[in-house]
Amino acid sequence: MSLRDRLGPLLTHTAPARDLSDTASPSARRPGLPRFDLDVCANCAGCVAECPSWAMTVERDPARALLRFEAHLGRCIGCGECAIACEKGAVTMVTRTDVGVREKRDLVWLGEYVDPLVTATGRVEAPQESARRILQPPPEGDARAQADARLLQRERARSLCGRTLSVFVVSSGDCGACALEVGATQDVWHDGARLGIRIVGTPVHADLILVTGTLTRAGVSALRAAYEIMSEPRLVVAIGACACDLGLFAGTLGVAGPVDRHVPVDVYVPGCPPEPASALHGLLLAVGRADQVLRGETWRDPRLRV
Amino acid sequence: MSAKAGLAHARTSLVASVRAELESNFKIAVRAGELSSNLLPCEAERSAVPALLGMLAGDLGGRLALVTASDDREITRAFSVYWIVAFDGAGIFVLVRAKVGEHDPTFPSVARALPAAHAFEREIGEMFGLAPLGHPDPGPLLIGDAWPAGVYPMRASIDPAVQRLPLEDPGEGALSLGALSFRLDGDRVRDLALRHGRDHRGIEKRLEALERSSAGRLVERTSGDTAIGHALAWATWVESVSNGTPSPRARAIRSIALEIERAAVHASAIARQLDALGATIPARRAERAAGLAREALDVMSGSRFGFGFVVPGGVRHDLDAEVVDHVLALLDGALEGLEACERLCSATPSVDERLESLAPVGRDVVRLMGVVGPIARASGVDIDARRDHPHAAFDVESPAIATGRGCDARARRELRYAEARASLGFVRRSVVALPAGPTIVAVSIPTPYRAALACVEGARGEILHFGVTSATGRVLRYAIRDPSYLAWRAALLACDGLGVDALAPALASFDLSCAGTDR
Repeated sequence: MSLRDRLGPLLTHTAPARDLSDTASPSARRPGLPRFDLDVCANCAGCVAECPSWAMTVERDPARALLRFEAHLGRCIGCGECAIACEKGAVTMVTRTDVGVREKRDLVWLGEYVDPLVTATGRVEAPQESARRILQPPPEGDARAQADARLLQRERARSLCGRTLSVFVVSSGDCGACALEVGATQDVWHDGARLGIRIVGTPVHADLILVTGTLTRAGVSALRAAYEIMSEPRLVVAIGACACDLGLFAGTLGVAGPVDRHVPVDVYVPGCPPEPASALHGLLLAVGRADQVLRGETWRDPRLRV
Repeated sequence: MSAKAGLAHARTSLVASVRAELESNFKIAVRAGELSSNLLPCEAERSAVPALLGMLAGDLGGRLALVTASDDREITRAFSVYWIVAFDGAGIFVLVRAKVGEHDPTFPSVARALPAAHAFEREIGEMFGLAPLGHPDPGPLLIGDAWPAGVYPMRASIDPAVQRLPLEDPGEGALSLGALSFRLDGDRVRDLALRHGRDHRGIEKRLEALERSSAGRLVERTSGDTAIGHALAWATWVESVSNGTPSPRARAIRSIALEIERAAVHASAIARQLDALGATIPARRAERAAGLAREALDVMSGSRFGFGFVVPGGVRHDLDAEVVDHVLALLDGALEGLEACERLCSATPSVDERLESLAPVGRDVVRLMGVVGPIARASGVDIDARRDHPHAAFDVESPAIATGRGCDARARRELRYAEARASLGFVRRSVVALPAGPTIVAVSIPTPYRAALACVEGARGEILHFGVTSATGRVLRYAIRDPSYLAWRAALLACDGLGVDALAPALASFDLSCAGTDR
């Protein structure tokens, strides 16, 4: 399949109406992002030990007599080590390109399991048949108001921008790969200009700030200055593991991010680096011209008391 | 005499003369038996270092490649400062180490005599709190206003596992959006300066806390578009501190990956340079070539940047027949794109006319500032680690090494074109004659307290990784020198005084990496 065929849906005005999932990389060797079958997971922490970017944790919660498994795709570099390590086959790698999400919690997979140590003491009822439930608690109070305000902002941006979008890129504390992939959204294959997306040289002319990188100490003030100079409605898209959740650079001395520590973020695009098509998806998602597909799941062992 | 035997002969005679000089003039004994590696280590008093370096980099014709330090107070109750001088004809590096006591944290600067030391010494000053005495401009280099005062991040008292430094607000207007600053004098650009540190993450410190698997992933993200080069340097370093040897097949695949990366980086550098001139049509052809080379890497490794492909002990994926066919088809397209770009450029005389004599970097500047890679070769200085310090499988076969004569932006564009072509040709020849062997072998736990230097010719030039292992075989100190680190000053110097319209194409002709410089 030629590149043009492969990226076809993104090349024409029909994007993003068509499914982007078939535009995944031609490489059979690309791992993609993990997807967790939480009810299959045996909580062995095999994936946690293999993950080079500490995207996963298993923690014991003695007060509630449970083990909590968390996976943050925002930090995931898509290396595929977890899928190799999982003996239960609970991790499958998915190579989609439409991976942008609006809320950070959509990047989180959360499983709550009966703590085997507690089970041994007999404090938990007899096992029942496990069932998958998706728990996404609705935002409450302030969080809901904030979400509403952001939705309004997105709607206003959409109605003002129509089918154009001017993007100002802030890169600080990245290895350069994300910035290059963002640059590649304008290349001869991805041709973001056909979707109305153009990269501009000043935040004054921009509708949207695209951030790549961890934000170093020196980068924070640059991002803030750029954000403050923009007129409303202004959107922020965080591209790549570093911008979403610091990626591999979590814990390094020079970083002051992630981005949402300093400015509100409308769309997160995970990956290290995300493909140019994923960056395009994130930008279109920010103005409501694409749909969100990726959504982390929450699963509780039914034996656990609520 | 074969090339290999020639190199061995040159090495023996150089080691003999270095040893004779050190013993007669400096009373320094060089330990025998350390010559299995590419490092010739010696210890010196810090006061003797300027004279010693003058001898090594002057009379003996060495090139100051790296200056770095290490906080060894827990082991030797002193800091160590390291100077590494490369001898390209002999494939060897002389490592000079001097101890610096805690109570007098200074060392003599050599930056006036050897400008290549300029940035290194400033960085040692800010990172370790060791002052370079007599440095012409000893300000901070990478860490800016948002750093707490009096905190030296590379000292051992700072825990690499936890980030505890407070973030200080630099306040309004302390930092402009652009990292590049200059003053306009009429339409001339003056006082051109770059504020480094926008991408400073602190990779070197973090490596002291990491397991090997995470550390390798972090190192390759020093500079994303030369990830293969940095991953290869890390793998080579790990293999030399732990005596692991990858199979001939793995080494050949490493060479191939490195050359595909070189073609991709050169093609996108040509595209950016032409874009800056406004020559968008040839630029699109070069961009297409770069994209296809990146796709070829993707098919090989599962990442457009080759992340995770080169690992200690070998490479992660084999090159089977199906992959080879796909890669070659993509690279044919890349070559076609490059050739079309070159045809368009030669059919449009205004392109080369505008690049002619733009931002020249003379040979003496290259030598003084220690510039390496395509910029040095375009100026006619024939340095290439693929031949001078063989790694991967370049001792078996290597692409033709080109040098230019013009020193200017045009020479740099032409050199990149020649190199990218040579790299693509090399890949085509190599994939059909891959030696047999496993793609990956197990690597043992590193030997404690062992120093090693890895040298890789990345797309932008010689990548140096120098590291010392700790008692537990982890990283005690790991220094990364991206080729762009040395080239920035030469590039800014060459661009200073240009017309403002020429600044963008001139800077683009150097194609320097901020991420690699800042780390």
